[in-house]
Order: sequence, then structure tokens, then C-alpha cells
Amino acid sequence: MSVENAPVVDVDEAAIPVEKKMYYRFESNDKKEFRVSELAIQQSETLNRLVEAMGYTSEDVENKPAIAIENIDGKTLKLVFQWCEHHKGEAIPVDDGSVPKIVEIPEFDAKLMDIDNGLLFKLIWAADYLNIVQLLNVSCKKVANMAQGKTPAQLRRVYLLPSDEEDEAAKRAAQEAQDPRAREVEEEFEERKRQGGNSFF
Amino acid sequence: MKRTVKEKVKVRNHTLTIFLDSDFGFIIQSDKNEEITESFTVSQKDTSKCVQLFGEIGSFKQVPFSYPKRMELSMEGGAHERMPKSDRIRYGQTWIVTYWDDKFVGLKQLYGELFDLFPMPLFGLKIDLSEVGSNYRSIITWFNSLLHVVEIIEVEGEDCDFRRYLYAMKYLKPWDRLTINAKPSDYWETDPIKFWTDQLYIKHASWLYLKHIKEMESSEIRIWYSNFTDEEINELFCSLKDGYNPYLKTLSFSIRRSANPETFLKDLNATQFCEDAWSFVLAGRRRCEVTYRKRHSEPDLRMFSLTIEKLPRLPLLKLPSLALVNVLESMKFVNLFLFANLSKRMKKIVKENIKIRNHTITPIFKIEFVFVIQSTKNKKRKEYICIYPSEMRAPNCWNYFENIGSMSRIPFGVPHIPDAPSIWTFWNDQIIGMKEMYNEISTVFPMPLTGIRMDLNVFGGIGFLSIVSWINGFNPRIPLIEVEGENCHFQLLYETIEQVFTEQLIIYATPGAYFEPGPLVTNVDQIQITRSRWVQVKHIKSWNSSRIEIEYSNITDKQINEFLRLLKAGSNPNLRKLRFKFMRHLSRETILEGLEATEAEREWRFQLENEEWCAVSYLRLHRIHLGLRELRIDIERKEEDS
Repeated sequence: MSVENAPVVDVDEAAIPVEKKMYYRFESNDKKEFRVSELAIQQSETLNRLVEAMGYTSEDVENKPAIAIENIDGKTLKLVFQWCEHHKGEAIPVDDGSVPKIVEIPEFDAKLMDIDNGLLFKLIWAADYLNIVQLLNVSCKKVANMAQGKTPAQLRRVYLLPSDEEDEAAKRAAQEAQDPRAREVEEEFEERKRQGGNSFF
Repeated sequence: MKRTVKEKVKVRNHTLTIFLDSDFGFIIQSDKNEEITESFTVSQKDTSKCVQLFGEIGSFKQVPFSYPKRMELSMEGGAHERMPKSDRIRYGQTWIVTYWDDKFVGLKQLYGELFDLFPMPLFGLKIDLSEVGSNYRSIITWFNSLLHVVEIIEVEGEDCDFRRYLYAMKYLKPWDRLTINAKPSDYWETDPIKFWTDQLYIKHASWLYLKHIKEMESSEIRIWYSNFTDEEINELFCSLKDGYNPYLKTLSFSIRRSANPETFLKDLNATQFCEDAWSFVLAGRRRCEVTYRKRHSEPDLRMFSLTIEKLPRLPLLKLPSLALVNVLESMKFVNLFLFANLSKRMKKIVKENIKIRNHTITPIFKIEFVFVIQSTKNKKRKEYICIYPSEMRAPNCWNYFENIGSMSRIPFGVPHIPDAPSIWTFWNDQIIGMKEMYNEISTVFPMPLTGIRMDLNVFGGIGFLSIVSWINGFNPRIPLIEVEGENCHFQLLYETIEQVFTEQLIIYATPGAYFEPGPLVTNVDQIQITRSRWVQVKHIKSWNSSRIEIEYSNITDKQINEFLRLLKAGSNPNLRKLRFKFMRHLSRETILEGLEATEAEREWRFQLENEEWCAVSYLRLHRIHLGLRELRIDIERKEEDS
């Protein structure tokens, strides 16, 4: 099934499915609404528990407001639900303890994640928040694959990782922000150095 | 007939390529198998040749033609198969030659006829500017009048006229790739030429100026033998930075001299990320990586390679902690190793969160010194950390320096080998390299060291002792040491057996020559010697191992009997299993003589003086090797029973 054909439904785009299955309604933080099948929801431990706790009937799903997912935007949520619909009914993978992990990215997932890194970043956050184990695995694998064949300098750039010096500078800045006195002492020290003094005392 | 063919036959999955060299013509090629080709050649009429076939082509009624090569080739018995692949495609499996007073006229007539009968896409053009004669303008104009978008054009021509060369470049516009292998006999400064083909290769680019590159709209450009100065190269890079060539993804060009990085990188604010590679930021949030390397096949040639891309960026440390760990756990081991060395913070994160499981590490001291990290669940998954001598520094990988343990600025290389993720390191002393790298790896990623493989031929005496002392320093003992070495020095083999501490020692090595060794003791629990012509009973007697396997030795049945008598008298008190493999018959009577052995269930048992029992059995191992026999001696020790 192609990414485009995955049966996630934007309410404003498509008709209600004919099948006699329960389709829950979810709303993203930018007010986009989605209908997602009961089976697809099972891929998300968080959502599955939520709908179980709500105990909605088919009428409730239609009559009550859509379930709000406050911290995920519509663009990301659409990808999440497309993934869930495509993989509905599949077993939730159990970690076999191998490190490095052995994760294969299926073709559908690869196409789904052919997105810019900003959106991939949000997708990982969403998979983590919604506790979708396999989506988290494949998206993290994609991020891990970015490291292949890269030198340390390239790794730093790709993953925006600070060097020891930058970490030190950030730590000092944080300390100074917490303790105004430390800043005064630092400035006094600099001033004395400028004046030619070798020792602070 | 023509009408019937035209109506009934539709050629599918085939394309047409026009060639214009010493002969003109067409190659019809299958999309599904590029070796299935047919060709129609337009040749100059030659009255000396007797041609008996004539046909109607276009408006010409009596065009002579023949199938010469096909007939000749069939007579020569497979000559076609012996031709190089390119020539086979060129000549086709079926070849028709037509003869014309004017080849260009013939080409047009034949094309009209072919296309009328079998319309098919025009895939490419191959033109030799030295061969097309003064007709080149008419030919190129005719070619451009054909209503096709051609994918590939190749322009050949040794020492061709520069006017023809320029004309071809100006007017031949393929969609996908333009390859100009032609070499102009002379050249002069020209106005820029607009190129919009996706890939552009220019083999002889002495005529090329910077202004030409600025006007190229290709995404991939390869230029050979250019005359750019360092200042011009810098100007090119600066123009890229300012937004010229927005479609460019890769550019490579060569020069026949050394260049100065200070000059060609001036004002670019470039950062050096490898010994021979830099990067700088371009307009539009793109980044350009430049490498400048000597070309090994042509030592006076220097290659510049530029890659322009929007580098993937993802703030890893801002991921939720579970996802961060998941990313790190999904990385290949070699990437994790580089990650841990990025900073103290990364090392801490990796050390605290990542526990390598289901993997083992094996140091190998062979022609290459290498650590193999292997998955225990899938033996095919292997990664390599290689320790090379300094002089082998590889030019074709990303090179940089790392501080390892007490050693600073060790050259590292990161090759891109998807099936065998690797890190290459380069050391003045490989043995120190192995030790330092092992310490570095095991500090962050403790993994079981299941064995060591070594080739005795790669060691000098000092290196060998150093390795042995390193091996013996492991606690607990290394479970397995495998020793190889065809025609190795016997002294090293001898010292290996005497000095290494391990659970199991397997010796595949064969000494080139061996002297009569004196007493030889060993500290290994299990020893297996696969080529053991030098082994004598006195050696076995002196080994305190619990399991000994001796293969293809010169020990006689009488000597085995002597050993069994010693065993009976109390020799080798730890020995439980002794195995001999021979490619000869064994005499049970001789082996068991005087031992008072009794037969019981296909084995012979006798009692030792300490009242323990010894069982001797004999097997034919024909399934492994025809004629192979094994003598098994099992001693039932009392403490084992208890």
C-alpha cells in the first residue's frame, strides 16, 4: 500500500468509511481532525489505553467532541495515523535485547519518512509520546543511519552536538545565570588582568 | 509486405541510437537486455566489393546491402561472443550494411524508412567530430530536427577542429547526459555556452574558463585536465557561495599541478573536517564539501571534488531520552565508537546508556591487524576496526585525527562500506595500536573477548613476545587462541605453546622446518594441533592439558603403546581425552600390547595403576576424509565421577 493510499482520513477531505468498524476521532493542536480505526489505534499504547478508559460507543464517537491530542500538530499526526493504519493488526515488537539493535525499515515506512528533518524530529517526539514502539524504532533507525560514513566533524554538524569547549562555555553561562555574584567576580578578575595584575588576591 | 508489417508489427521496449563515426548508422537496443541489439550501417559505396543484394530504401530504388559480418562471424565460430561487450553492442547481433554514395543521404533515408515502419524512441547519439567531415553542421541540424528528446549524447574526436567542437557543444542538447570525450587540436577564448543537460562530462577542458562553469546549469559536472589557477578556483568557490550554479550538486575537476588550500579557500570561512577536506556554507542554507586529493593512477594530477547538499540536521540531544537511547542503540558499532569520542558529554551518555549485548570482539593479528565485532545472533553481521601501518594511509576515505589513550593525533579514516562498517586507524607501531584501541573500545563498550587469531608469520620476535604478554594479561583467560602461519618459524610456534595462557589453543600453523625440540610444557587446558608431524610422545607426556588432539602426526603405533604404558603408570594426571587422527591403518594389537585391555562395546578398556579406567576406541572418519581414522583415548578420572 502506498503512503498516499493509507486510509487515514482527514475529516475535511474524505467521506466517512463504509465499513462497520469503529473509527475514533482525534484532533491535533492545530484543530485538524482525523478518523482512525480501532485496530490502528492499538499500535499506540497511549491512545489504546485512553480509548479503553473512555469506553466510547459508536454514537459517542460521532456525537462527542474529537479526542484532543494537545502537543502534536496536524501534519505530524497525519503521518502517525497513516503509519498506524498501514501497520494495524501487526504485533507490537518486543525488544530482544540486541545492541546494536536490528531494525529494518520497510519500504512503506521509508517513503513515509521521506520528509525533512524538522518533521522527522516531530514524528519521533509523537511516536515517543503516543508510545508507538515500532514507529519509534524505525524513525530512530533513520536518524541512526544518518551517521553512516561520517567523520566526527560531520557527526557534530549533522546532530548539532557541542564540543567539550562549547559544553564548558554553556555550563559557565548557566552557572553565571544562576549566580550573579559569579559574574561580578569574573568581571573583576578580567578587569584586574587588564590592569596587569597577575593574581586576584 | 511493407504495409502488412507496418500495420501488424509494433516494436515495443526498444530504443534507437544513432552513431556517426567511420560509418553511420543505427543501433536498436532492447530496454530489457542491453546486449540484445541489431544494427543498420550506412557505409560508403565501394565498387571493389561485389554486392549482390539490392533493396528499396526511401526514395532510392536500388540500394546495395549485405549481411557481411553476420555470415563471417557465424563461419568464424563464436567470434561475436569473443568481442568486447561495447563492440558487440556496436555491431549488433544482427547487422545489415547498406552502401551509399553519400553516407549522410543514406542515413536520412534509412532513418525515415526505419521510423516509418517501426516508430521507437531515440535514446542517444554518438558522434565522432573527426569522422563526420565538413557536413557536421547539416548533420547536427538534421539531428535536432528529429522530434525527440534524446537522453544521452557522446561526442568523440581526437584532435578535432575547435570550431566543430564548439558547434557540437552549443547545439547538441541531450536531456540526461552529455559526454564530451573529444580533444580539440587547438583552442581560443570563447563566450560562455549554456548547458542545461543534467550530467555534463568534459574530458579535455584546457579551453574552459571560469565563466563557462558559471553558465552551466547541470547538476553533475565532471571536468578533466583543466587549466584553472588557484585564484580562479577560489573565484569559482566564492561564486558558488554567492548563489551561482543553483542546480549544482556535484562538481569535480582536475588540474595538472599542486594547489594551495590557503589560496583556493581564501575568504570562504571554510572549516577543515578532514586532512584533505573542507566545508563552507553557501547561499540558500546549503553546504559545500570540498576534497582536494592526488590521483593515484596519475600522480601529477590533482582532483577537486565538490558536493553540495542540504546536510541533514537533527538536534539529537533534544530528542526525548528514550528516543535518544533508541537512536544510539540503532547505530552501527563503529558509529557509536566515533560518537563516544566526540566529547566528554557524549562519552558519558554512551557509557551510561548503551550496553553492547549479543556481540563479541575478536582481535586478529594477520596480514591486517583488526578487531572484528560480531553479532552472536547473526554471524554475518560484522564490523571492523582496522589497525594499519602508517604508510598505508588510505587516500580515498575521510581522513582525520583522533587522540586515543596516551597517543595523540592518530590518523583515522571512515570509509563508506555499507556491508562492512569499518574504521581505519593508522599507527607507527601496530601492536601499540591494537593495545590502545582495545583499551579505548573496552572502556566504553565492554564486550566478551571470545578469542584471538594470530598468524605467526607477521611477527618479529619482539612483537610476538609483546603480544603474548598482552594476551596473558587478560583475566579471566582468553577462551580460545587460534594460531596460523604457513611455513612459520618453528621457534615462534614452540614459544606460543609454552608461553600463552588460554583455555583452548588451536594450532593450524605449519613450521617450515623443525628441529628436535626439547621438553615442551604448556599452560593450556585444551590443545589441538592440526599439522603435527613434529609432535613426539615426549611432548604429549609433558603437557598437563585435559584434552589433547593431535592430527597427522608421525607417531607410530608402538610409540602410542609406549605412551599408554606411561599413562597407566601415572603420567598426565589431568588428561581426560586424547585424540589422534591418522591417514593410515592402526594396529590394535601393537597399541594395546601389554596393557591387559579387555574388549567391551566396541572399545578396549584397561585399568591405570591409580585404579582409574582408560578406554581406547577406533573410528573410521570416511565421511570427513577418505582414509581418515581417529584413535580415541578417554580416561575416566575419579573426581569426575564424584
